[in-house]
Parts: sequence; structure tokens; C-alpha cells
Amino acid sequence: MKEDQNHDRLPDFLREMRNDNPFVTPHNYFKELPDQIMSRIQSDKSGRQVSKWAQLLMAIDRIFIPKLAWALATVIIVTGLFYLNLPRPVATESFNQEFSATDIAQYVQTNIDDFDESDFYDHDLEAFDLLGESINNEDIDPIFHDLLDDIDLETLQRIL
Amino acid sequence: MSHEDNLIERLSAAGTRDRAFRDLVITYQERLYWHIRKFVFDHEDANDILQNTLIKAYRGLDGFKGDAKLYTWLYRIASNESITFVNKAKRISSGSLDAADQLEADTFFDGDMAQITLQKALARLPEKQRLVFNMKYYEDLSYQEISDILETSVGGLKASFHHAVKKIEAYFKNVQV
Repeated sequence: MKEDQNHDRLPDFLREMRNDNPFVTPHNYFKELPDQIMSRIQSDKSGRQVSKWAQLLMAIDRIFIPKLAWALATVIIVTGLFYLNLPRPVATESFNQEFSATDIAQYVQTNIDDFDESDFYDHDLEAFDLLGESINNEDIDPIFHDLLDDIDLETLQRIL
Repeated sequence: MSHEDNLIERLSAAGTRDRAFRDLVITYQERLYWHIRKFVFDHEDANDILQNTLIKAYRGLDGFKGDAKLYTWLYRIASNESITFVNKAKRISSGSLDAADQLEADTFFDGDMAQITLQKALARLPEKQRLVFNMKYYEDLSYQEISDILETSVGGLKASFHHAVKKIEAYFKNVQV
């Protein structure tokens, strides 16, 4: 009763308009709404399930991927440093073990055209001390005899 | 057991929840729709807000303790959603004022000039005052029910309604002049 007094105190125009509803809805709106709502709820549910997986993947990505990347980088760096610090055999040691002097001589004789003359000069100069005592008559004699064999009589007379 | 108690019991069990929620929608959709529609004026806006309200209600079912009435809880969600919507709309336009000004061209509005004037007057009220006026004037809720929904004192609500009526009266007088 007390509540009704509020409406009694309304101005006449408001009291008269009170029961008019000027708003309308589309045809069958309330008939179709429950289906629309339930369909939205179903897609919301499946969306939430997907997003739970997405959240899990994001958490993995956020927490584990940087750690994995750091771990991988550390392993690569440590392995690299370890590899660089390994004692390495000198190339000439293994070379000498693998090829005998005869093999080398044969190779040089077969492929003599592939070599540059300067290669031999450098090595000869390093190998022989031309001014030292290491060169003796036994080394020179074969060369001298070869020269004598190759020289003709006219050249010999001219030199003498 | 009342219809509402039965609904609450079915909503709390996972196996019957969806079916019960459909019944809840059927039971309360019209009351909630008109509550929202008379606040925002436009049907499309009202439809969006109502759907959001019901989706939020479904998501929040586990949080509904049953200490409030189901419709009080739903009205509260709908009122908050409506106020949020109007405040957002205000940031990009004049919000409710625009909606009320467009009523003449609205295909889902069938009111005369007096109704258009009343809606324009309502659009000029502060949001909470408009909610109180609508719940009392259109929906005929008691002040206690409005107080439960808006969590405001009954005295404050009476004052709000009184001020709203005075402002509407003044607006009508200005328009007639």
C-alpha cells in the first residue's frame, strides 16, 4: 500500500504513460534467444578449453623455452671450448707415419710438373746449410761426375 | 520446493546445469531484456548486453551462493553490464542521449511524441537515478528489492526516485514551453 503511494504521487502524465510500452522487439526474438545463448555458452566452453591449452603452451614457451635456449647455448659454448683446447697432433708427425721417404720421392717424380720451382728453393735453403760443414765431398762428387758426363769436348776445352 | 529452489539445485549439479540454465534463460529473459532495453533504448545494444549478462551469469554460477534470490543476482549483473555499456558509449559519443535522439527513426520503437519526450528526459538522468526510476516506474519493484539489487539504502533510493520524477517533470515543462 505504501509502495502504491509512490505512484499516486506521480504527475498525471507519468501515471497515464506508465503502462504503455513504446519499445518493440524483432519477431520471435524471445523464442530464439535461449538457443542463441546456449550456443554461445557451448562455443565459450570450447574456446575456454582451447585457451587453457594455449595458456599451457604459452607458459611452457615463457618458462621453458628461454631456459632450454640458455642450456643449449651453454652446451654449444662448453663443447666448442673443450674441442678447441684438445691437444692436436702435429701434422708432420702423422704425415711421416703414413708416408715413407720412397713414397714421397715417387710422388714428387710423378707430379714434378705440378710443383713450383720456388717450393724447392725454399726447402733446399732450409734443409741445407750451404756455408756449413754439413756439405762435404761425398755430396758434391756425384754432381760433379754428372756434369762431366753431360759436358762435350769443345766446352771442356773452352773452359780449360 | 519452489521453482527457483529447484532451478538452483539443478544449476549446481554439473549433469543438469546446461538444461537448468536454459530454463533460467526462458524464465528471466523477458524481465531482464526490458530492464536493459528501457535503460539503453536501442534493441541491438540491449540484445548484446543481455547476452553478455547471461554468459557472465553462466560463468559465475559456481560463485552464486544462493544467499540472494536468483533474479536479484541476475538483475545486479544486468544493471552493472548496462552501466558499463553506457559509460563506454559515452567515451565515443553522447551515449544514451544519442540513442534517445534516434528513437524517432528506430524501427523497434512505436511510441508517440509524449513517449519520445519521456525517453529523452530519462536519457538526461544520471545512470543510477535512471535505473532506480525504471525499476520503480516500469517494473514496479519494491524499494527493498531495488536495494538488494543495487546494494543501496532504501532511503537513498527513495530520494533518487523523487529527484528523477522532479527532473522529468521539469523537462516536460521546458519542452512544452
